[in-house]
Parts: sequence; C-alpha cells; structure tokens
Amino acid sequence: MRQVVRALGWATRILWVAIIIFGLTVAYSATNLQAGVGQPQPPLVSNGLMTLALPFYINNTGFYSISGLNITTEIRDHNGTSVSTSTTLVPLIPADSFVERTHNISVSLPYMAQNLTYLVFEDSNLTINVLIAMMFAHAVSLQMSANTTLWWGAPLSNFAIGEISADLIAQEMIVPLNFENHSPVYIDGTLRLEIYNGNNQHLGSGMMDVSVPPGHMYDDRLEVSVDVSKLTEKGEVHFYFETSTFSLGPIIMSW
Amino acid sequence: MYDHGEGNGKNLVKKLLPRILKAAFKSIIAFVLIYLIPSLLLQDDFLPAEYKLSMNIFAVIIILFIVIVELTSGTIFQYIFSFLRVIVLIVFFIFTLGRGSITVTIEMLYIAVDLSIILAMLIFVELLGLAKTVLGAVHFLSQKNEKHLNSR
Repeated sequence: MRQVVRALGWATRILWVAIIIFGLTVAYSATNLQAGVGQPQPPLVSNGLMTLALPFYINNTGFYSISGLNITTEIRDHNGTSVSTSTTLVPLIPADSFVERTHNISVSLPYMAQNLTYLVFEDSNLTINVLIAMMFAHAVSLQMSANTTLWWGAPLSNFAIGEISADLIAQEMIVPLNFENHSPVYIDGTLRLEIYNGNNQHLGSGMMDVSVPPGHMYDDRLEVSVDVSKLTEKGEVHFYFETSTFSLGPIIMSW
Repeated sequence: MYDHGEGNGKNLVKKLLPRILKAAFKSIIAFVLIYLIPSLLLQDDFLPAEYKLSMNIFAVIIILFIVIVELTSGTIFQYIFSFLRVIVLIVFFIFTLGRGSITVTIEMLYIAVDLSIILAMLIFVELLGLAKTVLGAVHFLSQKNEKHLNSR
C-alpha cells in the first residue's frame, strides 16, 4: 500500500509540474505572438466579384504551433441580411515561423443587384463581423470576434430621372437622368430604357453607353423615338442596366 | 511539575519545528512556482482583473493547505485536509474556468478561450491526488490499528 501511495504521490507531483509548465509556456507563447494587418489593396472586380484584399501576417515566436486558423468576415446590411461571407483558412503555423497570407473579402455584385437592389442605389452603413478562430498547442481553442461598420458607396447613388419631355415633331421623348458613382469601382455598361404609356402600351425604347469613374457624377439625357399617337399624360419608364459584372432591371419609374 | 512542563514544551517545539520548516519550504516553492514565475513571465495586461484575482486565490488556497497539511502530518487530519484541498481545488477550477470556457470583452473585441482540455487535465490530476489521499488514509489507519494491536 505504501508503494502505491508513494507512486500516486509522485505521479501527482510530476503531472502538476507538467501542467504548470505547459500552462506557463502556452501563456508565454500567446503573449509573444505577433500579428498584424497590412495595407488593404484597392477593390478589384472580376467575374462579378468585387474583392477587397486584406494582407495579414502572423509571427509565431512561441513554443507551440497554431492549427486551424480560420478568419471569417461576414458583411451584413442594416436589416441584418447577409451581403457576403468570406473565409480564409491557414491549416498550420508551426512554432517559430512567420506566415503571410491575404484575406479576400468578396462581394458578389450579381447577387447584390438581384437580392439587395437598394444597395445599388443607396449609400449605406454595412456591419462587418470578423471572427478569428484558432487552436493553440493543439489544446487551447481561441475565438475572437469584433464588429465594425463600413460605409458602402452605391454605384448608382441618387439615381433619378428629370422631367420627361416629348418632341412631337421629332417623335421623340427626352429622358434626363443622373446618378453619382459612390462606389470604388468603375461603372462601365449599357443603360436601356423602355417607355410605356398610361395604358401599358409600349411607346419606344432607347439605349446608351454609360461610363462613370469612381466618385464621378453622371448627368445626361436620352432621346427615345416613340409612337406619339399612343402618348398619354402619364406612363412608366423601365430601366435596365447591364455591365460586364452585373445586370439590373427593370427599375420602374413613373412619369 | 515545572520541569515536566518545560520538557513537554521542548518536545512540542522539537516536534513542530521540522514541520513548520517543511511547511515554510514547501510554501516558498509553491509560491515561486504558481505565483512568482507566472507574474514575472506574463505581461501585466495579459490577464483581466477578475482572472488575476483568481490566480491570487489559487496561490492562497495552495499555500494555506500546504501549511495545514504539513502541520497536521502524522495525524488523520493530514488526510482529511488533503481530501478537502482536492475538493476545494476541483470546485475552484470549475468555477474559475467557467466549466472550461472563459470569455473576456475588451472594448469591441470579444475573446473566448476554450480550456476544456486543461480543465480535464487539472481535474484528472486532482482525482489522482484524491485517490492517493484515500489510500494514504486507509494505510495510515491500518498502520495505527496494527500498532495498537501489537502494543496489546
């Protein structure tokens, strides 16, 4: 019995020392972990995705490896609707190593144009939830999350049509329209519009190329050949906007 | 009478002094291991205030029980206090480590640390200590009985 008690005593002591040393070295390694975010790259648009590249680095100078590093950014609008979710995974950062990666935050413009159409026309504040999860020393799981807001500049901000006038001699309707490109991307596409009278009869259609750099205003008028015999006092204009990255429409406005 | 009392006092001092010295020595080692080294190694802002307090309480529990157990060594109270220490530490770990997960909010940053594996390791070691204490108590009582029977 005495030997058993002694053996248990020593086992307890050894395990206690091991746990203390492990706990201390884990805590020490965590305090020596260096991480940072680099300068974000300007957004790029490709295949309908607007991508913001966020470079980051982790310098693991500790005694233990970091596994399963997961960085997730979720963008939501003011109603809580998800705009995009982007994830970057780094499977393993060994001890005493330096890792540099880029977290790409992607927003699908076709999805946005279809499901969150108002964001094409209205500037807004978007909420970004950042979640960072990792496993330290294969024993301690760490999760960090933070919220921040991001101003969203609409590509067709303040989109409006002016007073529509009809030139009965030229058999044309003149549609003035303007908007501001508050987004960081170049708007390059085709604007098409269909004009209907009060009886929902098609009067005519027109098309024009639109090219607006970021931060610039577009102010022009479109002359559309119409059948003046069907002209009524009121009617509707159906707008369609097509770019290489997204399509929008019909946006219906009354005149 | 006076001489007899002085002899008893001397005996008591002779008996207690090694225990006090042993308790002091063990306490100092425990203090260095579980309080001083972590305090020196870890930055001041590494642990939030409530967990710093827990670290201090942990050190106090360990040192207090080391002293009590050493002073009562050679009696059944040594095992009773050892048993009590294990129970107190298990409860302390479960409460302090929030059943394995601790959360901290620093301004807008929310941090959750899952320490389930560490907690399991701590409880396992404590249970091992509990087994040792129970076996030690059984051994102590059997030895005492044996001596008692032999003296008859």
